[in-house]
Amino acid sequence: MAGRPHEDGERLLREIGFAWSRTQQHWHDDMASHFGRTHWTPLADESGAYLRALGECMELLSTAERETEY
Amino acid sequence: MTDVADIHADIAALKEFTGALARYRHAQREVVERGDYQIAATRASLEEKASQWRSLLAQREAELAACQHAAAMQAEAGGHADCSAQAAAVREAQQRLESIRRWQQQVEDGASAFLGPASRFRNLLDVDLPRTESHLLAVVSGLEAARGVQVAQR
Repeated sequence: MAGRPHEDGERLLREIGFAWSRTQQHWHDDMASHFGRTHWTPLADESGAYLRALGECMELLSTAERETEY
Repeated sequence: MTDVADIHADIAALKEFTGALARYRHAQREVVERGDYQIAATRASLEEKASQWRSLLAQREAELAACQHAAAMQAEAGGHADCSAQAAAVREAQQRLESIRRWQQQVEDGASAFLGPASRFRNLLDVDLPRTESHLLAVVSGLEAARGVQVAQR
């Protein structure tokens, strides 16, 4: 990984989202629905919340560095 | 005729997804570490800049004091010395140091606001995701046992 951390994290979240979509094509019984609600959705939501916060934090750090370059 | 692999495609897909989750967990752990490193690096960088400007301010204040002392001596002798350049240099150092301090505070505020989501995400990676992977492996084992098969991961 070579980009900014939140951008890499967002790419990873998109990739695992695609992997979950592929899995759902073959696994779609009641257990799958339950897994989606109790495991997948919290994982995606928590990941998204963290990556948004990380992005905001990285933006603040960049601005702080830039604004204090004299 | 339906291929055996198609019949058990759910099991193969679940195995593949479990592996993808483990890779996601490791890769996001690295993202977390890089984020933490960036915060620490910026804190250190700002502190270094503040330290440099504190030194510069002390040096410029000494130069201003020396100029003012010389000006007082010259005034006694009827002369005149201009210390406005030294005074401006002191003001510049004070303003830059103050600006750096404000940015240090903003970074601390931002890092504090980030703590909650970061802590929950670490917990997700360290506790919840391994449980999720174990849960999926148990689902796979249950399906394989029920069907009397062992399905290879694709």
